[in-house]
Amino acid sequence: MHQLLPLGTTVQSASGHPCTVETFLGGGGQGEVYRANLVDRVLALKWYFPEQATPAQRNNLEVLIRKGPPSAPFLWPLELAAADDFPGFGYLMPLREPHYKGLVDLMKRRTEPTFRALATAGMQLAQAFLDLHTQGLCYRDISFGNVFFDPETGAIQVCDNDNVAIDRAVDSGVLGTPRFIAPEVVRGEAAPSTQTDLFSLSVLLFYLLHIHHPLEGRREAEIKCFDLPAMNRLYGDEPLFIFDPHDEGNRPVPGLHDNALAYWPLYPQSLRDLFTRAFTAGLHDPEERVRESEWRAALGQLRDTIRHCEHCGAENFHDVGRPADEPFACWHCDQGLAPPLRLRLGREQVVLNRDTELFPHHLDRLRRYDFGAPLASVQPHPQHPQIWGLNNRSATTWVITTAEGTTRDVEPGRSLTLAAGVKIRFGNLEGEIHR
Amino acid sequence: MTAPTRWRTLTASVCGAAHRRRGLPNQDAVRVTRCPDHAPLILALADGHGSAHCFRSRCGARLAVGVAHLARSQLHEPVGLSGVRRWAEEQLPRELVREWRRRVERHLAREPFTTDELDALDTAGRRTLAANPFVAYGTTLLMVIVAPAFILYLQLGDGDILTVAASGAIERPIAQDPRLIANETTSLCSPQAWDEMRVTFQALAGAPPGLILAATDGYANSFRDEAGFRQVAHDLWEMIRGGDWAGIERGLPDWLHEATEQGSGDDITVGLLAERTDAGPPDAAPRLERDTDPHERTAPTDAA
Repeated sequence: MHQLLPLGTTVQSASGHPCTVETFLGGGGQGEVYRANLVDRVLALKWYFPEQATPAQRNNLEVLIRKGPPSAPFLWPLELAAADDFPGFGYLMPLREPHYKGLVDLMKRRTEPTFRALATAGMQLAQAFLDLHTQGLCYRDISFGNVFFDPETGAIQVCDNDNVAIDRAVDSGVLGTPRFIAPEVVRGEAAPSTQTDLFSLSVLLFYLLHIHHPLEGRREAEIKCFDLPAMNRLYGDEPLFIFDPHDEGNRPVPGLHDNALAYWPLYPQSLRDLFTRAFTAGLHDPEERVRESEWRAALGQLRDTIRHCEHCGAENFHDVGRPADEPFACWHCDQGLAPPLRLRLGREQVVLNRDTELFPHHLDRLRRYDFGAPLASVQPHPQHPQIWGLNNRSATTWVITTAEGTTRDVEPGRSLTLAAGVKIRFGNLEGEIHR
Repeated sequence: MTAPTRWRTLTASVCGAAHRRRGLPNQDAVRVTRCPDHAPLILALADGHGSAHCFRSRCGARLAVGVAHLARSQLHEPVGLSGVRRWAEEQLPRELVREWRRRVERHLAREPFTTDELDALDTAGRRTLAANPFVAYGTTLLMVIVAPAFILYLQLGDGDILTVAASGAIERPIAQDPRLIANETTSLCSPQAWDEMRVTFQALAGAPPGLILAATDGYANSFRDEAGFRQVAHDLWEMIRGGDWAGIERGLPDWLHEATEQGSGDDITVGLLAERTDAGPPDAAPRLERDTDPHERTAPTDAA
């Protein structure tokens, strides 16, 4: 299927090293991507179609290469490449790891990650957008094809970064379909910017958690011919959130939009409120859009409210805003669930499941969003497996106060028994277990 | 780049040998849509499942190739190749499935299931149909869309698409789906069928494939192995290179008959798209072609 570079071709990297084309990985609207070998380093090589290999594209790439990646998840252009025998140019970038899956895989159920992995992926995506925007860059054209995630861990990789541009650059062109683009850009009233990226981020996050587009409801179902005017109406001129609390005119249609109907009620009200703001006020007023940091915090909290059904094991979300005495049933088996044990840390709560781990993100206010080595984990008692405890995996001694008022130290490597009313001082932060 | 009117097409469809012996009709359908003004050329094939539950699958297959031309609606738009690719991957499958379901619903409203049709089913079959009446019309869909700047290949369910490059290299633009074994197939009648549709987008930077062959699964199943099936594409390409398109037109129905008799016993439908290599006379006035009747005939659809 590849047409631009025969396999085995050697191109020259800008640093003067030969780079051999090994296999064809895929083609898109701008060019073709190959697996290539640069001095024993395996990389991806994107080669542009002649009409896409423009001076503007080359200039943009040079700027991006000079700036370097905003953070680790970006598979960023490393250097330009050219060949004597083939027109145009290409660029080298890190190769995406094969176990990363795309949103299309999610949509087509070729991967079925846990809610924890999805929430983690969403949190990391928000972080990646924040990293990009703080560099003065914007995405312009992000969509399904750009974001990949590890279905086990939720770690993300962001690909095809050659269309990233300086925020509010005059010549930034819109390349894709309107589905991920802010309404004012679809209408031709604004150029892509960090503000319009925030809308795209909200759509991607909604898609990630609902496997559905937030504007595709009854209005989309009634379209007879899905041509450009219809798309412009749906995403630009008359966008309406499918769960708009004040206008039911675009609700999901059973049979067509079942994912949206199934997933929306599962999430805590606070997250639904955030999506509602993003796709009601935020549709029309860019200043009302949900910021990257807000998404990051909300999805970090979502990750911590996951609880496993004690009957069937399905992941449910404990809604911290729900009254404790309000009955709650598992979405999967419909059996009633008692409130889970939780660790309250300031304004946040972490549900204590049998596999819960606490990270610097939770226990060190100076290391927010650090999910590196865990500092604590829920574990069974070695002799009495029905008793569960919190194991101190940090280098700091914790001090606990039981419900009865006695205090004791929990040295590194030791555990405390999980029980409501126990207070734990983790260095400079105190938490309390409650139900 | 090559305008679609530079492509010639040929379709043929034969009733399966096993079907003829049981008095069953050909349940495949095929249609070529050629539009004016260098708009895309669309080849669509469908293979009605033909099982007891799918007693209207012949109709379902004909409805399926009928909705394929919907793809024209947006391919005229100046959305760029990236936009076309995204639309094809994200939206087109939904539109095709949805329109097919609309048409099935209309057909069913006009012609509700008869007592005879329902009596022929066992209890489980009637239960299946009550839950999902689209099952009665179950069919696969294969599509190839050739535009000046790109080719799109779409597949839902079994069937095969091969391309032959000018060099003679044969490829499958859509990888085989490992789930499609032993007559198990994804289908237009499946819930969320659009999620099962596989799409490959090929931007045309250099020479397009010299030959594109699309076939319902009865053809590949007639060969001992993949190599035997690929040999057919190779032989056809050799004939085209040798200027013997007319020989293919004459011979194709017999070859398909022979394949079903000695091979799968299943209905076989083939669509060929070949780039014109000769100077040839100027293309005739473009036209929107109607369904090719899927019975025992070839339909040369060369616009030239």
